[in-house]
Amino acid sequence: MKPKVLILYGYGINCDNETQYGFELAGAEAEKVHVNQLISGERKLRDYQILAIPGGFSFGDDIGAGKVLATKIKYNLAAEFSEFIKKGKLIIGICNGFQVLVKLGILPGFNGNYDRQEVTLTFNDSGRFEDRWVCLKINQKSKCIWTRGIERLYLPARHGEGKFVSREEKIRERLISQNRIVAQYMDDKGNLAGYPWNPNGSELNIAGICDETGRIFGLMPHPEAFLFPQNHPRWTREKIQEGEGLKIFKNAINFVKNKL
Amino acid sequence: MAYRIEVGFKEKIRDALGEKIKKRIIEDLNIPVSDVKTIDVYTIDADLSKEQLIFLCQNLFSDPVIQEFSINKPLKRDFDPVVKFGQSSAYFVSPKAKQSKFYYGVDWVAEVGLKPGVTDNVGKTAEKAIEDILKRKLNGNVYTSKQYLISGILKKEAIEGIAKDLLANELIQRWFIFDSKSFSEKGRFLPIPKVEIPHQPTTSLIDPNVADEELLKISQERKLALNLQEMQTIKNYFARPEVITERQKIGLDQKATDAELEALAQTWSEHCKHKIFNAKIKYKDKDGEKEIDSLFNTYIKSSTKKLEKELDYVLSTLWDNSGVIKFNDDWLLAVKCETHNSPSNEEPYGGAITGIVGVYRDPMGTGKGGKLIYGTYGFCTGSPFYNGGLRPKLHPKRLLEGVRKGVEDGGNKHGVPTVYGITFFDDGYIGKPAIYVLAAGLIPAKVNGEPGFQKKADPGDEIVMCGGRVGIDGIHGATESSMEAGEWISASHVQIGDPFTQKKLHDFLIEARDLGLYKGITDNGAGGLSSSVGEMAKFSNGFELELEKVPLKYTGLDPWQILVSESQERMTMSVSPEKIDRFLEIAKKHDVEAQVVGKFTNSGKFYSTYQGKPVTYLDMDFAHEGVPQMRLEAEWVAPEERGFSEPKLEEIKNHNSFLEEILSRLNICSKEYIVRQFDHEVQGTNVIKHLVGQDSDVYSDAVVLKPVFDSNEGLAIAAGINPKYGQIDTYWMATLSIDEAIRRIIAVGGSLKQAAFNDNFCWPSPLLSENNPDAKYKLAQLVRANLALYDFTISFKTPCISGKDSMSMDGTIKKLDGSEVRISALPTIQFSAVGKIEDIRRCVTMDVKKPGDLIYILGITRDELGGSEYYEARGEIGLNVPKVNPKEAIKLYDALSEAVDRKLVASAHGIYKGGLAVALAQISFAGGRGLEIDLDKVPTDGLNNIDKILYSESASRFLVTISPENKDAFEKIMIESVLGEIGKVRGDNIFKIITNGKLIIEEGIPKLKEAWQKPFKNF
Repeated sequence: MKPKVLILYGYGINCDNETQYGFELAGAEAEKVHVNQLISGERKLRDYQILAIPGGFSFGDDIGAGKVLATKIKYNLAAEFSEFIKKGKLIIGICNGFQVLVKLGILPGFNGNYDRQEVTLTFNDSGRFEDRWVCLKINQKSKCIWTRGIERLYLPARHGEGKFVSREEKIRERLISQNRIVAQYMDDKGNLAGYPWNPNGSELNIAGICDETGRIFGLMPHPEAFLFPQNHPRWTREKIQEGEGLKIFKNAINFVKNKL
Repeated sequence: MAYRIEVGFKEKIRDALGEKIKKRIIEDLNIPVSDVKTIDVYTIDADLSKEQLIFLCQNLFSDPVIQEFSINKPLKRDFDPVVKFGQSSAYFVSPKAKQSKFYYGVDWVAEVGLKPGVTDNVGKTAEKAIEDILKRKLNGNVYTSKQYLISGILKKEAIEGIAKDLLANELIQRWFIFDSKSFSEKGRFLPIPKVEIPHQPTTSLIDPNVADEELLKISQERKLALNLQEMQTIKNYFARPEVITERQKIGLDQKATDAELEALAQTWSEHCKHKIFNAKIKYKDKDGEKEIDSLFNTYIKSSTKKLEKELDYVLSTLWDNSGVIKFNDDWLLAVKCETHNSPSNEEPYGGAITGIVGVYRDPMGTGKGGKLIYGTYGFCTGSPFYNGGLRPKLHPKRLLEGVRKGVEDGGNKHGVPTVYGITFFDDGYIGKPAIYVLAAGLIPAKVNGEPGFQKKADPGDEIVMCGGRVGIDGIHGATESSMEAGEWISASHVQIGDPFTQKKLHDFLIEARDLGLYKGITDNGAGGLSSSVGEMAKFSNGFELELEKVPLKYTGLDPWQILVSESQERMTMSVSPEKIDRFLEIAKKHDVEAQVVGKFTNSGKFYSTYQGKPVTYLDMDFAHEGVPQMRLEAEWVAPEERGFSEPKLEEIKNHNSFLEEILSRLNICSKEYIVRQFDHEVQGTNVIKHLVGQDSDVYSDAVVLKPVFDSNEGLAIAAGINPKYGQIDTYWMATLSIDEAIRRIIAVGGSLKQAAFNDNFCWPSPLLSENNPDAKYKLAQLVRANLALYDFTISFKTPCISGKDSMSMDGTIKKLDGSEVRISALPTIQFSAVGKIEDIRRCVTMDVKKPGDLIYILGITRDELGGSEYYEARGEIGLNVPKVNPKEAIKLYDALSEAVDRKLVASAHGIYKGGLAVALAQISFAGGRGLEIDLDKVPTDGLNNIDKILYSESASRFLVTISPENKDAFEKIMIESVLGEIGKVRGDNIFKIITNGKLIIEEGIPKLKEAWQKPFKNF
């Protein structure tokens, strides 16, 4: 049976179609479900193995990117989300979805506490939205199931509020010591580097983190925007074998097939 | 009770917006400020308990990791008025910072908020979020404003200047300035921008049976923009006995209602009826005189209709909100390009965001409704570096940044990739800029068994209005845009588009479309409901609208205002009664407001009521066809007679530095910062991006999308715009724009087989008046551009499936000495092209690929530098404008398409502004490899002037590189076209051009690239 993926959409989420397509290519049965279909009970989160919160501009980024959607989830769907996480099911938040997850406190979710906000994603140091491809170094020690077998990724970052900031030094230390930092911005030679390689000024060049189980993953760059070779900005001059972003979705599907 | 919440960053957290503002104050306004911090202010006008407020601040308004908040008092961590530095008092200062020798203290607080009635999008979102948290209706409003804490030893006037020239636009925003001390004492509550219209809605009656003078007075006083002839037509209509008899039956008489005059003014406005394009024109040139009965019918429509018969991919043209062509067997493509010049001139951000969000509704409102797949932009403004003698209300730099930001927010927040665009600078646009926005959408080939490009409304169908609510904003947009800038402008005309609301509407309508829940759809743009319902009702031949049912932003609107308001983000649909419940249910799921506001009928009447009382009762055919035809005169004066000639210039001595100079010219150089700030990759479909090459930072000729996931078919997207050539002859300007757009599509691997245009004219007014003495010449320029459009769309078989004209590219601007001058823009026409790509995997980009690849120039280089960058750089215009030979061009384009299709081509690049030298430099630094070029091998028609060979802008030319093993096959395909093998790609980064064995250019490509990137590097 194909793993069932819930692609959350509505209220300005805008990468729902390509995220759905990415999961389908990876072998899932992916369904777009409107936020209000979950709230009304028309669809139940428990019927799915994977939840994807795609990128976009939910609520127009008003008040703070991801903030209002996080609020909507917190005050309408907290129990459903909590149950989903407890059962060890998979969640990915991409870009705006990542912003939602950190603002809900689901990430990093230290000590199994999934509702305390410890980190945030805020305005890029450049003060502007930018669409720029970034090189990512994947932490080989991370438990993240989404990035298994991946050493580096090349993906587009497209955001205005992607700068990762922790509440305090202790949080950074825990992120490092627990190998929660899954992906970091690097230059083309593999070194952590400043702008424009790090497009937003993130602490520790953080592009993505996971929870302690490695099943919940959030990242700013867009794996769903590199599903086939021609998405790559230089495919007409370099040999590109496959869409690198697809590997992320395949990992999740394989995990569900084997473990859930 | 109102509460005021302030939210700011904690100590040590970087305030990127504040830093950006600081940079612009220093660089753009030359005001030395030492620091700028920002604070978000939310004023909640509703009853809430203290606990609730604190809870909302903690959980909604602030980010606990980086922000802090205050309620009903200034946000301050360490407010200490005793600490002083010079004359300054401190505010929001950390103890550490105070010890720093760079610390000047916060001296001023500027708070910027919206004027009453201007839509507060963030406030609306906050209201919804509060209701979500509290699980109850808020029964009140949230208003947002922003505080700027500005440090520096400055006078209040300087802060006023910063507020006026940078932080706010006085048309839609207001500001309050305090020194920090008085702010802490009394600045806590600023007036709430609440709209209260203490007014009972009424419909007033106007007697049109009056003398001519009175008729004109009515038109002027009500800002109807109707001329005497049109007012007389209205007068005669209302005097018809049969009209009076019918009107008496429903309670009206020979007097017109205000709503009727307003509705007619909207429907008949230049904006909606294109009166100049439909005028009867007497055209005179040295060959004699002829009469043209409607430029639109004679040239545009006749070309398109002819091609529509011939080309089976052309499906629906020139009537709906956008033109429709076939994409493949399953999908149709709807494309529309618009301009939003007047509003952008007054409020660049608001004008542009409303423009792009508005044009999205065109594909959405075409046929059965399109799902948006891409947008493009075109910004024609004065030079951002302008420092001449005019004092426009907004400097071109600010205007450009405003429109850029408007398109950024409109596109990014709507989830539509802004994939391609142009910028073009000329100081003629200081009077009024030309701001192009284009949108395209996919419609299923069949919806409910009916062709996706068709729509209808049957008698008995419900009229449903969906999306945003109606307010007084945007009243008179259609009539105003037909007037000259500076004549008058009212705040109500400028709106701030709301991409968030419309994105919800978009998702809803796609679902409703796919469920077959509506029969027809159109957008509420110019003219509001009067136009949208009026247009849709042509299918049923009549309607009855109940205006009190229309959801309003606030009470107090008169019925006529409800009828013509152009409040944004609204669509009108026809829904059959048995589907209305399901339709409304889906709307609810998407949190979209949908309201039945009346019924389509077959009464033949434009009938609307307010609480049962008649508001309009016009005959449909009068409303839509009644507009009288204008009569105009055009007189062409050939360029020679206008004093144009070819200059005699000394040849360039140092070609290295001259090439750098040309590469740095504003209409040649890189504006990468614009492209980067548009999300051009959302939807995952972009396969040839606008920035390509080794470092992904050089413009591709065109952009290619793969809009359907499981198909490798694609679309090539580009545009052509060349206003400078129009100084000599608009015929060739239009031709060269067509040729450029096509060349761009061919260069990436497209073909002429399935391509189409949108034509968008932006013209200075060709209406004769005291301050427009050369109107006849401007009209002749328009005639010639249309003639070219006809000739070349027919030759290339590329129909104009939709388009738009904006016929008032003029503005009255103050000079430094205070006197006023009328500025007219260059006649401007943008051809936006889209062409089908059979297999995107065969596309090519312009960057050179491998060392040793052979470089070819295709096409003939002629003595055609009239209107060129080269002449302009040397202070000339010239006479020899480039010309296009369509037969030769088509042969070449077809051959190149075939060569690309057979994978023989490594790179292809059209030669555009700046000519061969610029094109060579671009392909070289894009590929990160040097070139070696022998100029003697460039095919010319006897041209032996090096400057001219390098910088001629002859049309229909390309640079192509191929791998040496493809030489024979490539040359064989190109056999019937003129081409020259002019050199090789080098392994290093040296750019070399020789002629007669003599080196004329030798330069490292980083230096050339730097020259090309330099002007906008800091933008």
